[in-house]
Amino acid sequence: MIKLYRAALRLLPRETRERHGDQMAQVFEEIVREARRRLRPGAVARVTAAELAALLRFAWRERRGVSPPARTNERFVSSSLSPERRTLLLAPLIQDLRYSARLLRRAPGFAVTCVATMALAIGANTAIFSVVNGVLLKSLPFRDPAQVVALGHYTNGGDSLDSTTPGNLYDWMKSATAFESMAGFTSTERIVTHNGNAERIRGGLSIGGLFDVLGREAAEGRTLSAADDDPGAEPVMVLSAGLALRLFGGERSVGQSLAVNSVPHAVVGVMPPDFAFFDYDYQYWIPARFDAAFRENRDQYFLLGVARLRSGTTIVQADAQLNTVMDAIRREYPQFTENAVAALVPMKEALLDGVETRLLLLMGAVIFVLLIACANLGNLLLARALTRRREMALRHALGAGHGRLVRQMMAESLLLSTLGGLAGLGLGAALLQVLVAYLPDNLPRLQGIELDLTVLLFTLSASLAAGLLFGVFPAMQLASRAPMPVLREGARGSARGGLVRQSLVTSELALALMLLVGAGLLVRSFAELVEVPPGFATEGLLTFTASIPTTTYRTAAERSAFFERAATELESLPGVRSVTMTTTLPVAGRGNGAWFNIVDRPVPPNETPPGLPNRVVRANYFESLGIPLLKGRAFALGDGLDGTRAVVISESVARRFFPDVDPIGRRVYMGAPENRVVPDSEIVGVVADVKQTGLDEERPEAVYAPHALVPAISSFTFAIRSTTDPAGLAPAARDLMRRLDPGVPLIRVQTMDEILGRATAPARSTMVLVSLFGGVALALAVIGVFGVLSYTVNQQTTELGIRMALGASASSVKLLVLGQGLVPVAVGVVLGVTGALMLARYMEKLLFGVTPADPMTFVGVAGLLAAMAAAAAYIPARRATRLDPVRVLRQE
Amino acid sequence: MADPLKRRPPHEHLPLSAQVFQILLSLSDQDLHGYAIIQDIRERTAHEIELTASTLYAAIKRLLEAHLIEELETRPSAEEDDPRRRYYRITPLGLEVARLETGRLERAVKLAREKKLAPRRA
Repeated sequence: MIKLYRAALRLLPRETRERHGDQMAQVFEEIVREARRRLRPGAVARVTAAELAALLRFAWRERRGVSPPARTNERFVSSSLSPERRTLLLAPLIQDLRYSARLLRRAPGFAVTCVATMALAIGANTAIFSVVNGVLLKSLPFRDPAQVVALGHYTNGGDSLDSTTPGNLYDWMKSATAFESMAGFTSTERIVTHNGNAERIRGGLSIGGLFDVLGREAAEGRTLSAADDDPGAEPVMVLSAGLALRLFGGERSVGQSLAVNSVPHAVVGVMPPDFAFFDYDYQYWIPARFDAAFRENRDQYFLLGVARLRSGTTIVQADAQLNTVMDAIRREYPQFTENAVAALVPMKEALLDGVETRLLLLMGAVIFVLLIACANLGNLLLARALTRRREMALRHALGAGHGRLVRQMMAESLLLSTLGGLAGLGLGAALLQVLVAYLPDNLPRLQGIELDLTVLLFTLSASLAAGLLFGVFPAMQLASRAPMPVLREGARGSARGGLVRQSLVTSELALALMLLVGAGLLVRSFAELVEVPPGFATEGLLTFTASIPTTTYRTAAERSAFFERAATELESLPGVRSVTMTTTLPVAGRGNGAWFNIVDRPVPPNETPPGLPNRVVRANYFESLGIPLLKGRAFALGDGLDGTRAVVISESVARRFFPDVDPIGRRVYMGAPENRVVPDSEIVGVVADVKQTGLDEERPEAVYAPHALVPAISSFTFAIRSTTDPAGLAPAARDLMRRLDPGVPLIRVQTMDEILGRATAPARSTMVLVSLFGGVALALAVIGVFGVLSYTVNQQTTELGIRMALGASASSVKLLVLGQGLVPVAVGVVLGVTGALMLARYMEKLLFGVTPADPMTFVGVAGLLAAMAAAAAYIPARRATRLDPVRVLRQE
Repeated sequence: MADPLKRRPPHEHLPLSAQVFQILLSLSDQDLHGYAIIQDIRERTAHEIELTASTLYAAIKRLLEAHLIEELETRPSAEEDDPRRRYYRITPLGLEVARLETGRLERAVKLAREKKLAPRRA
């Protein structure tokens, strides 16, 4: 409500708004609060309506700059437009509107049908457009946001930006001149302790003057500067508004100190609530303070660059300049950067990372629904207009010009569409609430979604455009006809306007078919997606991540002792069948990767080895998760630094690197020669592939190392296989971990089913929404066919009666009517299939396991639509056969 | 903002609309913020006059421009909950206008009573 009012305040002239807007919003807020307290149903709606009406009056007066006449008593009277002038200007319009309103009041069923159809379509459009506006259209909350770009690499010709190394980033910062300023960042998760409460919280590491590049000030205190990033600088941090409020309540946060991974950090600033950079989960920002040696690192890809283009520099120029620098880096360090190409994309694109296709598809779907609704309403109005043709003809004969009659018809459709639009706005606001709750929470910029002025303007223009669109057919149709034949025709009707009506039906069927094909393709993809075997037994798994502070657990022995003890004790909980650990769970993401080196196949100088995801796991991992062993053996108790140095590879790794030879017994290591993430080890087994980044992953490669081989790990995700409901185990597991060490926070406590649900959430929500709109479209189109055919049959009563009187059989009459109905259906299906074939290509990115031209979907959808349309046509056709020719002819 | 030179004599502001008169009455003996004005009017008139935020501020804007009321720089008390609130105070001119309006209404009522037009008692 408040948001709506704040948006509506924009109607006031700027000066007035700046002077009084805040106060008005505040007073309105209190009025609403009090209305809520009164608890009378509708109280809030009533005060809001009164308020908006008063605001409109206020804005109207202010906008027209009505300054009080020199001496007036009207000063505080609500309107100063003289009654005479108002009449002169607006008389015809007001008269038309009044007349329309009267007509509609006399046909409430018709009016309600039109308004409800319109409200449904406009509501869906309003809700989806709010999302599109918040996520895609609104500019980012930075200074000159269009100038801000993200920098990284494109690897494997992919189209998403991958991270870079400190070495590359610092060289870019030094030498790339196309940018006004450049900085970098990465995500981190650290243990933040406040008042003895330890929490693992996600935040950002800033490199250089990140906030200067973005051009944002702190709400309280200051932001981080490039000087804070100096390795010798005092540790400081900046908090998000949310975290500051949560930790310190209303108290001043600046000047407080928080322990981050046990190191005290001074809070120097709090960001404004609307500040969100890259990830809405970032709760704080800390300078990275890399030392000189690490700034030279060229094998750890984990940073993204952020830069502001020099004004007048295009992306293409900047890209060329950046890659000139990159070429120099490649010449200097060929062993690290053989295939690395620097890439930059506008920050917005980097943030959205492919959700545009989904959102634009949804937007397209609701626009189709709106067009179909317009076609339906056009038909309804046309039918109604034809019943009024005598009235119109009479008015025409009495001297009303064509323009006058057209205007009257348009006034009626505009009145309907405006009413529908208003109802749709309310419906849209409600739908938006549901939608925001339903959309996957990993949708970027979800918080920016609201019903603001842009959305209001969109809804208004969509309603008006729809009104013009569905009003124009009947108006033209009717007003262009000569009055005399109509008057002479009498009460008898002929099926005039048939072509317009049939084209409307044809186009709505074609639109519905395209929409349904889209929905069908998504349903098929989703069915394929959930059928994908993830590669392990997913039932009854509870998972959580535990990270130990490296300041307390300094040695590898201390760390691995803690985790092994935790796993052993968790295994003794009632209802637990087995407990295992991994650095990255299946389906949860790509996780860590490192260069994969086969010892007897050294890479040629100047080339980089391929990177593969690696997982450090507890020895019982494969058995516990039910991952089938294909060759060799799984990890055994003796494997580790002190025993057999063993690793296990996934099937796809074996296929890629050892297509013709037995991988068992081959020696490999991971990482750079001087920085080995997994030491020289022997491949002892091959296990089946497990989906890593999501169910649609095509090459789920992984190299597994046992915990005993890499004991220094400080963060593990536990997977507990339970014999009962896994979620029920969570409290006991939490208690146990707290008893072991209260300073170790547990995060992401969730069941495997929840993880899988989230992995398919974007596909699921798109599918459900598009199917929903497809269903609405189908219903509207079928109603359209039914309506038009019923109307035609009514109009042809006399003709059919004569045919039957002359001996036509019931079945031939039925065929005649059905034929009339099915011609537009057939044309619509052909047009729709053609359109769908052209449009489905754009959906390719969203599809999985089906092609955009999937014959099964096309045939199924076309068949469904044709069958529904035929059923809708059958009812009037059957009614036609029941005509009693005698009675029909007697009516004449 | 209105030109102070154009400040008009008190009687030229008459007659006042019911809402404006009530706003001046509310401010006649105390400084109030927007919502408090609405509440005060509602209570004094027993819900007969309920202002919306927009009617209130449309009136406040005019009253400020006509120098019948002014906005306070300082706030009356520290225990106030919301620092964003702005307070309004009636000006001597405003008081004078309210007085004149009261007189005008009194005369009108007197004339009506002479015509035996007293309200019926329920």
